[in-house]
Amino acid sequence: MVNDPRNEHLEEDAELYALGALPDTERAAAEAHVAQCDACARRVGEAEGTLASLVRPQTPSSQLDRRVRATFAPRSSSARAFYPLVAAALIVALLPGAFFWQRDRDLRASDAVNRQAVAAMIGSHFLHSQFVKIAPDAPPAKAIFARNGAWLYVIAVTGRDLTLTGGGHVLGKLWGTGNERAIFVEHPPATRSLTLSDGSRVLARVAVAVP
Amino acid sequence: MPPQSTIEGSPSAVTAQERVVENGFVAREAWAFEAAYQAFKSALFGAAVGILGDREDAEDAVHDVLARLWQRGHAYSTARGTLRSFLIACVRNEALSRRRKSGNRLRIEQTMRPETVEPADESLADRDRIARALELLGEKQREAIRLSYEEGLPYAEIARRLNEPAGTIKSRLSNAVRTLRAHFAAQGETW
Repeated sequence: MVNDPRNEHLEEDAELYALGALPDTERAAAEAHVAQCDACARRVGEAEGTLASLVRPQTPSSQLDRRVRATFAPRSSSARAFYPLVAAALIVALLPGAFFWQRDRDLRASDAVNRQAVAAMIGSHFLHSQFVKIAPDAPPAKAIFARNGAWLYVIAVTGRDLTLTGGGHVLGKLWGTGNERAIFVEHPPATRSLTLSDGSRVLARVAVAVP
Repeated sequence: MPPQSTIEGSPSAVTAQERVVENGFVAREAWAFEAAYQAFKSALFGAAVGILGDREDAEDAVHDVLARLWQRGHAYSTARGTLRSFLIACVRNEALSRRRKSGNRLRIEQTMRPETVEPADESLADRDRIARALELLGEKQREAIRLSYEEGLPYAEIARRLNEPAGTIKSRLSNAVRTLRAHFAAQGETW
């Protein structure tokens, strides 16, 4: 009886697979096995993560940004284009103060964040509060947070990479492109205020009640 | 004392966002591919240009990998690890494959146009970090990793060049990667 290679664990071939050091036939067999074996997929993933640490980052040209955007841009006739518009409409309807969303409804760039936010808003009671400017160049920004403290969402009209802190923790960087940035935080630490910073410079603060 | 957190290592926020992108990527939704590109583009481009040595070729490789994974499907699952390291591995394989195909032509072009390779954006600290990790390997392991990681040679070819049994080279490469993994993990660097 001949053993099906798909049933054999990769063992040390996992690292060779991640390195790209297997010849084509062995690589194909390894790929078929990884697709059906979580243990070997994990070992391959660990090796890939290790090798990723050896990569030296470089900034590509803006031309590549444009090519990628064009490739993955939603088609107007496609269902893929529908969700961001729904997200935009829901946010505008739910937040009369969020005037800036009306200016530019192309939420594709921060869609990942907004999907979570919209789903969370529909499913819970929430409060919202405008950030108070501390620095003159602070952007308009708003915090929306669940009454039960399950999540918080911060949106800002800015092209800068801002950082959100609260409850003594850095909660993360606001995501997005163009003139929109947003962050969605699940299970934030209890806090009474949130701060938006540009590097070490505090730009704006808002009082919240996140239990 | 609360755990120390950094922007990149932020405990809940980044993980939540990355999870959304990963799930979108698994479902092959276009927005997730663009979001993944935006999040990891420097690493993806760095991986490609490090192998191909030419910025235009490297950009083609990054773009084509993403487009192909979107159109034809992919083997990524969250069980495998992070989307970042999966994509870097895909881009590396694409770049290695392109380099093998172009073979001598690319080597001649590189000799004629050495200026096409620009210095990496990495900080000195980053360069030291990688050098320190590689120093942990024995000399034979380091050479095997160099031939595999930088030259993109299959293990049988490495065995032939080093005049050693193929099985020995396989074990050497595997052990070298695991040594590096233990080192990066001890530094708190896991992807």
